[in-house]
Amino acid sequence: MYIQMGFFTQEKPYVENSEPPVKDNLAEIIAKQKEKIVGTLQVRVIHGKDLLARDNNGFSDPYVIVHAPGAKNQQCPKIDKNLNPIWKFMPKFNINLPKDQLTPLKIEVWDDDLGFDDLIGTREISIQECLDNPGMKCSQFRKKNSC
Amino acid sequence: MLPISEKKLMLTRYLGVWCINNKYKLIGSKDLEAKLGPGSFGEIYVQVRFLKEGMLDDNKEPELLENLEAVLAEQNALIKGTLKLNLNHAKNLISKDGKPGNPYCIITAPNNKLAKTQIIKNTINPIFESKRTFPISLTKREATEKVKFFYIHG
Repeated sequence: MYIQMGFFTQEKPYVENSEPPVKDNLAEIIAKQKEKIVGTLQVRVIHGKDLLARDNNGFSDPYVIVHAPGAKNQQCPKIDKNLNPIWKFMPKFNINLPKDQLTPLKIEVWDDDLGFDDLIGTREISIQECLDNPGMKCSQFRKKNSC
Repeated sequence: MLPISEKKLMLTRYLGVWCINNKYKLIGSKDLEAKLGPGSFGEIYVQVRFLKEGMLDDNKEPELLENLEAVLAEQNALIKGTLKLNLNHAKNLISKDGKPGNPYCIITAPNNKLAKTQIIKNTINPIFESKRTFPISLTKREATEKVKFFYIHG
């Protein structure tokens, strides 16, 4: 709750329109949260290491599913019988969402089976840092023609 | 002096930065984690960047923190050579009944090569003076295997 209060006397009467400034402008904050973030989220899932073996042969057949906020999931092909798979999976996601709906990136690693696939593990990764700080100014643009 | 349009272009040229370049431990399902303990699910290496609308995509590959391909290649490279082993003697080989036995030794080296020394009769301090050569061909990963000695009272 945000409250402002004042006490006025005859000597110090209330002056019309002398309200103190609002420190925490909720309307502005909400507007900022509703502000749309538009762009491309580029993800590279390079490799997995020492993954849990989910098959009886002591291996897994691992693949990755990447969930990005407000976009369709993307899945990479499985790599057979490998606990150290090098996927080099590079999905791109179009993002067009209000700031407050940008949930973390979720990555699932699954073991491919004939029947139901087994989950090896998951990980959520906050992308706040990427959204707040997407790029650096290309200062050398004048010197070189490209960066 | 650059024309104004080019100046404006320069100001809006931003290069995407790979803000996330990390290895993450996987988190498993609750029941498996209770059984196997946390940290038994492996890790993934992930890079992420966000290109805001209008930003420049340099299409360049970010630098890798860890090149697993190279690491695995190194671990799987074969180490070839000969292991020379001189077993000179053993001391105080007390048998169960306290009497001297007829000891001999079995040596196992990596690659499962077995070697047996001659039997030295009626002693607790056998002098074997056994010289062996084992040809070895293994990967770095397998090279952690140990040479084992088994003394047996014949």
